[in-house]
Amino acid sequence: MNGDEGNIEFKVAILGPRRVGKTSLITALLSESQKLLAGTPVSIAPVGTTEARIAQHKNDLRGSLLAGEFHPGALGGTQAPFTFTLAMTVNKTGIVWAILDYPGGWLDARTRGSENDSEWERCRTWISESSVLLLPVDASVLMEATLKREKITAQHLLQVGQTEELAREWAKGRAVAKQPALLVLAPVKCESYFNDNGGLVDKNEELYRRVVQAYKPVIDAVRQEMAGSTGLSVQYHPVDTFGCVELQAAEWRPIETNGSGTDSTPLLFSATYIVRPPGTPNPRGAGGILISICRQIVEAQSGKGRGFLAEMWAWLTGSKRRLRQSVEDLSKADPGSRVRML
Amino acid sequence: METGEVADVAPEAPRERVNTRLVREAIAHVIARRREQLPLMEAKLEAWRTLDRRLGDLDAALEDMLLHPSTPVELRASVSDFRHRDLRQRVAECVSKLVTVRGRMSRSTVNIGVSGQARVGKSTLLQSIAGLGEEQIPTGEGIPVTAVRSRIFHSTTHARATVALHTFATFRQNVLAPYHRELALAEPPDTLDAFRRSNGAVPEETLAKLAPSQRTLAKRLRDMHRALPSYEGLLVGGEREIPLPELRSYVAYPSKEQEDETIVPRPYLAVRDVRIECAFPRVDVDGLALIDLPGLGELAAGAEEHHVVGLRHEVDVVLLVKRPVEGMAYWSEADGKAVDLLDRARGAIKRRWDFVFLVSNQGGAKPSLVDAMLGSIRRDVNEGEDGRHYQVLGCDARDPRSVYEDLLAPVLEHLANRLSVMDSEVLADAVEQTRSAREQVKIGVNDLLAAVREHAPEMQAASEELWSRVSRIQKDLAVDLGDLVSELLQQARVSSEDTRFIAAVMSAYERAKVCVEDGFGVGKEAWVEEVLRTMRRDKNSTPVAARELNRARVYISEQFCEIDRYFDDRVNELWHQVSAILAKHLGTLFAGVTGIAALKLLAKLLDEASEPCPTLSTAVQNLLKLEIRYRSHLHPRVRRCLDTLNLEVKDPETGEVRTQVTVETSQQGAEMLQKRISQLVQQAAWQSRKALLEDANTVALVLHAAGEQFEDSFIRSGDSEREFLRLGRSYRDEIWPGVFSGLDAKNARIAKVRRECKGTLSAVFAMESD
Repeated sequence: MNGDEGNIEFKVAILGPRRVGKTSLITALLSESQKLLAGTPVSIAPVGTTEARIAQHKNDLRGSLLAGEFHPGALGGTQAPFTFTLAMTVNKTGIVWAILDYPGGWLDARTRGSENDSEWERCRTWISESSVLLLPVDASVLMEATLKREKITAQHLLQVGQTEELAREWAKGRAVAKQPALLVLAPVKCESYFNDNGGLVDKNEELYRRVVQAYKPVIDAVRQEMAGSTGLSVQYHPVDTFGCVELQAAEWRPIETNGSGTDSTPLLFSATYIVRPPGTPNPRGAGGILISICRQIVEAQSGKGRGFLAEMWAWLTGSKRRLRQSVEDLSKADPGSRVRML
Repeated sequence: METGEVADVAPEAPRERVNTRLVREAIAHVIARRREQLPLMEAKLEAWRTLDRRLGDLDAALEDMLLHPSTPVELRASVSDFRHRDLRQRVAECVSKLVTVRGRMSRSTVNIGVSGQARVGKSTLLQSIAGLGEEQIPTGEGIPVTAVRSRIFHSTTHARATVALHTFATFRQNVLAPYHRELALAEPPDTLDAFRRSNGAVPEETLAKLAPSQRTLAKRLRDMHRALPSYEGLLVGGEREIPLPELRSYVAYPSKEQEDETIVPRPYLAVRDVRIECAFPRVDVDGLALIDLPGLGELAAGAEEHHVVGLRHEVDVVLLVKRPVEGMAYWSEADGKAVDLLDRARGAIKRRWDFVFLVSNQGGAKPSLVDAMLGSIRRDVNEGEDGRHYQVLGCDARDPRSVYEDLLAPVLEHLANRLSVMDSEVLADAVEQTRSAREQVKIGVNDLLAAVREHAPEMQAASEELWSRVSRIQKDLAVDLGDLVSELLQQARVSSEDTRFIAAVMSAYERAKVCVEDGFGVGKEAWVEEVLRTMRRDKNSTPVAARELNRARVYISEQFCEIDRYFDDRVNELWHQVSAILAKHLGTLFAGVTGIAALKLLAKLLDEASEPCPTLSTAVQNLLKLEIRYRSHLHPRVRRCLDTLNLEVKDPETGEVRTQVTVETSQQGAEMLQKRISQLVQQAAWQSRKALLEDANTVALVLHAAGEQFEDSFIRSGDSEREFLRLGRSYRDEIWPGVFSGLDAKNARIAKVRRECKGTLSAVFAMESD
């Protein structure tokens, strides 16, 4: 099997622009997964450098929260490809969720640079081998865009076009391999738009509408490629990546262009967040992603399909039965009311 | 028998003494009745004079219309027909009739005229009745002596003569001018001086052509001129009271002796009228007067008509005196002419014997001559039947007793019985004549009016032109206002952003942010210090936190209220757009005024138009009421964004109320409160900004709705078309300056004729309503 000896590696691809909050999402996923598995023999934990990475992220976050103000820009963005590994194990044996995080800027060939071409090829291979494609979306970018120019900028910042191309490639690969595909739209930093996690305002419908509207080209492309296949699931998982913050104000600032800018020149977006007292992180919504992945694994087995997922299911036997049971249990868990099937 | 005469026989002359009291009462009653009638007659006379003026104005308007070459031939023919009706002459006759009637009704005395040819004893008769002598009423043998006829009034309180004197102007007009006319001479000199300088002689060549009677007139004219020094001092006008014993020279021709003097004195020439008041010895009847009429055979040239008019105005009955003397004891041609003249003066009085008595002055006459004369009258005047036309009363003019018993008593009794009948006949005749004339005027003017309507197409053309132009304006306005409304709709519904609105919102947002960063206007440190003091006083952070949050909420609202300036600009723009469109089509009506001032002016003009336009005015006034305000139009949508600026909020999950901010009472707590409130205010400001920008087309929607509503009510309301026509008529020359002036020139004359026709008819209707 792939990965470390005694473990099976489950590749997850994540496609998102820089600074969208991919590390934060994975941290939240880890945090909520640990809650889901609490009280079971199964545990989930970062492995290797991931542990240090997440620890660093948590430290940065804690500092911001203590200051009472939260600036996402204060968290360091990914500068080089990095694979988060979260091991879900029983007695050191289990599934390693391997999530490739790469510099968000690489989605755009102009900012990727030719020196990174070979590395980018490795990323693309990873993506094509992943049965789950995770698309983190900066909810505040979408929600705080009001004017036409802001909305255009939002589309630009979300890099929907580039995402569409890679998602199409991913779906094509899944269709060719006749493998199941789970596309997850995961708006992050959703605390300001839900009132089920300490917030006062409920704008979740508007958020859903805006996300679906913005990512329609991506969804359409994937559906086109997977047309005729039964294994495609497109899901909407809005995530409170921190849970204890809410948007204070945003700023759409013109890029310094030395006077050459026009009305269609993209703006710079930044947002300031208020930390809700007492400032304790309380992510919500990411656990549903784990549940959906487990459901995909179980459903793939029940369909008696072939391929990686069937092999993985077959592998989860013997001493790994308890892990298998855990996956089965997770697949039946409630993903939460925020989740929507598209 | 002449028309208007009733041929019943005159009543038998009473021979017994008259009941003076009854006569006196009857005559007083007649005079009183006449006074009662006077105001009505005055009113009627004024109405007819008004109608006369109206017809004069109409005639002038017709003359003016005929001068314009565009007046149609048919209309000219109608005017000609109208003029042939001689309506002005009819009206003038009515006025004349009413003047006579008024004169009759205004008399305060019953006047007995005494007439007859020269030397028949008129003056003697007057002396006998009035108890006067030669100094007042001169008589003479052989030659005429009465130069000025007197009016003699019975008065028990005065015995006097009042002489009315000519001015040179009246002397010239009433004395000289008739002689000049009769002699075909040039107009008399204009001034006394000029008359004095003239020789007063008729040129020889003219004199040679004159008939013998005219030569007499020429001699008299020369005599007047020569005698001027004797009377020019009297040509001063006014009245002069003369003692009765000194009256003779003012009323009598010069005596034979005087005629021989170098300058024959002729003061009577300066006398216009003589009024004598004295007690009649035998008759005590108030209001009785004698009028000495000229001898009908001795009338000056052209004086007959004047005499007839005078008779009508002055006398109620005439005593025509005749004397049976040798060679004259028969009804002569001159007598016939005299009664003809009197018959004309009789006017509307139906019976001749009511108005004229023939008096036979037979004192001292041979009985055969008396019989001959009475026989001649019976035969030649009364058609063989005594009293058929005229009653003949015989008396001796020298004998006052005979005069009273044989003449005056029966005449007075006649007047007592018949005067009211005569008055009724005069009034009825006036009523009939005026009614007939009124109908003639009405028919004539109505015919003319119909002809104007039928043959004056210019009026119709002007009306059609106005209608056409009004209709065009309404359509053009509909197009332009429609375009404006479409443009407003485009702005409201298309996603193009209103950059000025965005700028206004951004500006308000930035102000709110700056204020927060500046410690709500007092500086962060001062704010913290003050809040800490309050917390310490309250021993609690909650009250001050709640207060500061409330203040912050109000403050943010105030910042966004600044957007009202932008709203005002937009509304002003709409007013300018609308007023520009209106100005484009309404000519000079706005006189260069624009924007709101123009719309206010229009509303005023619509209200104050000669034909008010309330619907159009309301449309304009409603547009002027348009006001967009942050608090009324946008704040309700933004308000929810400010909910977070409450100290206590409801937890959406649990439904429990929770306090957003709680800090300890300390410097650190106050700083934390400042930070927390600042964050919440910034958050609320940002959310407000977002909400406002999401509703960025609210203004455009409101403006579109207002524009559309104005267009609908101004152009398409039920009364719009009618009121546009009213507007056009009321301000025609302002909306289309100069356009109608050409048509006006043509139409004004016709319009004036129509106006005058209507004015004339109004005058007629006013008479009818009386």
